[in-house]
Amino acid sequence: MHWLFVLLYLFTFTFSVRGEELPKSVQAELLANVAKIKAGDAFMVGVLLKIDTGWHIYWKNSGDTGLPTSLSLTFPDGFRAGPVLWPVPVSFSRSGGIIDYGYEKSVMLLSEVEAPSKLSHGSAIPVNAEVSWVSCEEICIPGGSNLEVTLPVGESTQSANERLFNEWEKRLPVDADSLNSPFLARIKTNAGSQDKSLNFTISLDWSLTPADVEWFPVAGRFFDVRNILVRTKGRQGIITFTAQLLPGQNLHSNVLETVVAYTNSKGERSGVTLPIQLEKANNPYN
Amino acid sequence: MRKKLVLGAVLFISLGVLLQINTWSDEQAVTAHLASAAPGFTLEDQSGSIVSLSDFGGKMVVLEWLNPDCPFVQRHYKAKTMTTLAEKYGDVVWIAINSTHYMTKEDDKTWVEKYNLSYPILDDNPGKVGRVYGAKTTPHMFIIDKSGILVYQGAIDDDPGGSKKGNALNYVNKALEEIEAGRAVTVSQTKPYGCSVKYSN
Repeated sequence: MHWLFVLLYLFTFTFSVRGEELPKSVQAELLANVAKIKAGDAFMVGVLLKIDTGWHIYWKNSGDTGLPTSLSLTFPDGFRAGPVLWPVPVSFSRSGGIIDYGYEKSVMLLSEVEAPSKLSHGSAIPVNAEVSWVSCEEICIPGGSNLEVTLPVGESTQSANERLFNEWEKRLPVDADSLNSPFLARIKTNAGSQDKSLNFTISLDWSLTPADVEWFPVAGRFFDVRNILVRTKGRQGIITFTAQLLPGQNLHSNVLETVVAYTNSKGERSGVTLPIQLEKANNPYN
Repeated sequence: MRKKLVLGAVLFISLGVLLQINTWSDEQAVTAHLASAAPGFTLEDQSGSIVSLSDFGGKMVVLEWLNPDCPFVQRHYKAKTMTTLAEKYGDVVWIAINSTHYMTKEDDKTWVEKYNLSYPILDDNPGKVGRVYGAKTTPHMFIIDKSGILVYQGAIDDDPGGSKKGNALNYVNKALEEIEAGRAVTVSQTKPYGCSVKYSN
């Protein structure tokens, strides 16, 4: 008689799988760059997202459409995880003047973690990641994954997935004021033609000749960044744009985070984070 | 020799014209701007009836860009976001517009019937009206006041991820409330969210 229950179970299982059958276009995997955690050590975790050909997911600022990918990591008490680190994105242009920012093929979102100074030897540390995205091709499909890995505590660190983490760490933008920065930036601000708008001119003095320079603002939803123009000639670059606080909204931060992306002489896509001060003195928002 | 020159000149000019036409269709100027007269349009609805913006002079109009294939639109229709608003503001003319290049009036009709819509879906599959309005996402909302001035453009609410459920701030509701109370719209522009409008290439 119990064959009936098996049949019933299979029947309900098939129909309870997530409503309509939508193609899953993204595969997610949670990885760490250590096989064992040593007390007090810093290590990295990452969520590797493999995106089907033709589909793309979004950066922390999705651009005109879509929804930013979101990642939330949970660790046991005592662990300190830094903010999510985003590799340099690409831009997608579509007819209708639509420009989005995101990733295709694959991307690994990273986070630096610090283990507490005291860890019971022999214990296992659960790491939980909740990642959600909207992936688009001709249509858009929201998706997500809840992932968990367990890392054992050890006397000494043992690295893992070194090559993978190195590859993706290289694609993280460097700070504009660090020694690794490939340029010196000067920023000028002028009042814009419209109420509560500012025109910006970023002059870049590159130490190498960059290729395919692009600029990505991390504009919040209450802030309109438009008329973006990026021009590079040899080692001189100019980026101009207009920023406007949308009516009825408040400025949440005095800094506009931006990323300058470029291809270096090795043909690698690299980036620099360039924060832009929305200075109080010149700030028409106050 | 002269024939060749003339032929060459004709080809050269034709190329120039073709290039111009190409850029016209791709970068059709957005003429919808806040505090300006909303661009007029004439489109057919899902039953083939002709609908013009000029039919509604003296009335408030809400334009809702949609795409039945978009999960953001699907979420809102399941939650009755637009239909509830359209019903609440009975004096407002609610018009949905579909600029998805691969969709037809049949697809629009199916959606109207599925959700028992009291308002039409206009067929803009060539995407002309969408481009003139600068419609980027589905949904993308525009509110036109009684004098035909564009007074709101942007998102339906402040909840792109759909996590706020019933607690989302609905910008269209807020704007319509203010207009009906004779006040100016405080939040007249927000960043719209949703799938990109699927214009033809």
